[in-house]
Amino acid sequence: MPNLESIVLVMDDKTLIAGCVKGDAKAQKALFDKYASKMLVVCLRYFPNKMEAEDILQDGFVKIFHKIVDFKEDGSFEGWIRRIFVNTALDELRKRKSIFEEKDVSEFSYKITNNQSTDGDLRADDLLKMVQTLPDGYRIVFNMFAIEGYSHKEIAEILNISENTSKSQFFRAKALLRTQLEKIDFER
Amino acid sequence: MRDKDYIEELFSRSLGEHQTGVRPEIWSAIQSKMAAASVASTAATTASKSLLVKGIIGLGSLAVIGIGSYIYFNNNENSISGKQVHENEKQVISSEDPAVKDENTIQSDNTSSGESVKEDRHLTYFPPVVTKEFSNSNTTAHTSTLENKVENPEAPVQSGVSVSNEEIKKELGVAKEEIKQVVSPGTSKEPVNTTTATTTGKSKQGYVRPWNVANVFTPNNDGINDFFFLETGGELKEFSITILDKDNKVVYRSEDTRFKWDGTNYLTGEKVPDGNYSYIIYAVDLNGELIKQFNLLYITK
Repeated sequence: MPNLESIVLVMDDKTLIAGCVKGDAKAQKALFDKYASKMLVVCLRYFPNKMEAEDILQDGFVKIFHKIVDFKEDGSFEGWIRRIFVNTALDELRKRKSIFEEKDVSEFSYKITNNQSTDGDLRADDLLKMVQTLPDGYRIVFNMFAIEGYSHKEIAEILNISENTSKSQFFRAKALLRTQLEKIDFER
Repeated sequence: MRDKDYIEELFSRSLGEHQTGVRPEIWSAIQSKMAAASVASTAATTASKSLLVKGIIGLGSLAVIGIGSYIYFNNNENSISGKQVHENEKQVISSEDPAVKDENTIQSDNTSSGESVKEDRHLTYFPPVVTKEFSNSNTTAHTSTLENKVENPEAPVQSGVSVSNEEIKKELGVAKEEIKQVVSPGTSKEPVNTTTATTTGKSKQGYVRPWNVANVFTPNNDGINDFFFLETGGELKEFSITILDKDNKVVYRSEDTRFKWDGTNYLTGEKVPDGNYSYIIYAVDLNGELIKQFNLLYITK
């Protein structure tokens, strides 16, 4: 099956940014088409509920179109966009309480039923599902540390938790993921 | 140590570039948010030269503009709805449709793990997944009784809802197009959680009262009851409706209070088969109160 995402009109970031700064609707749509499917995954990593993830996606894009005038061209544009989505997700999460309450590990129940590990996309989907089924605190810290590359110190500041909590949540998350990976023997 | 790196590496490599399909509706939603905000930020530019401040004011004003447009549309719809109520009542008088004149009593009991559904007629479906949706935000177990009556065809349709004792009482006084929502004091911790339904029968266009949504509709292009839609009584900050089939699969979703569903599956574009459906409305009012509503929907062509 052809991957429709790959046929998206390629407009280089510089043109996109210039258009978006002017408020050009075509450029905004092109920017959305270029990054939405990737950024939805970012949102889904923090908010497994699709409806909530889509809300974050919308809010993130609205923020981007407003803040794009402030984008400095010396950094990576995608990195900048991604940070806005991560921050939007984290802002939303901070509004909620009890993320870091101790959770029963048995909640982690995702089973990969048909192991179609030959297809790269399906495999990433499986990994995404594994991350999504982690308890909230584990998931957020794992995302921030392993994927976004924050340090434990930064995570502690952002989430207003101690550095040790961040570390312990991360190690527990990884232990759970490791168990799952061993079960399905990803490297076969 | 090698293992640690392997897991981090695997997830960050696979998920960092991973993509997933985005529904086209998302873009429309962003566009409407942008349209509202751009008006605000244009106004803000005159007040401030700082682009950053401009952005912040623009976002802050988003809600206000949103309210403005809701009021506008509501006014519009209300004028129409007055007429439609009359039509409705006439239709009720003349209608012999068994779905219209009788009582539908649906009782749902969340205090026990099981659910009992008692009803007459064709509303035979009560999806468990929906109950879960409702209890996910610190809702205590509750009992809700739902009664729909069209007793006297001359009188306005009344719908009463009782959500048990400590819960929020939300009284819906339906007087023509006007609806009052009373949240009793002292219970503000609980989310608003009510369920109402009115059987409107064969009105011209599946007319729907504020928060009272038709539970039967006939998408067969005969000009009668061909669309399913909602009319909101109050202004809302956020809104979404999701319609599920009997297997709890989503057949329709919208975030526009002015949505109009013609009975087609939003993914396949095909007309959905007759039968029992349910819908979930998820909204946030201007006070930030979450309003979740679920109801049954019967489709017959």
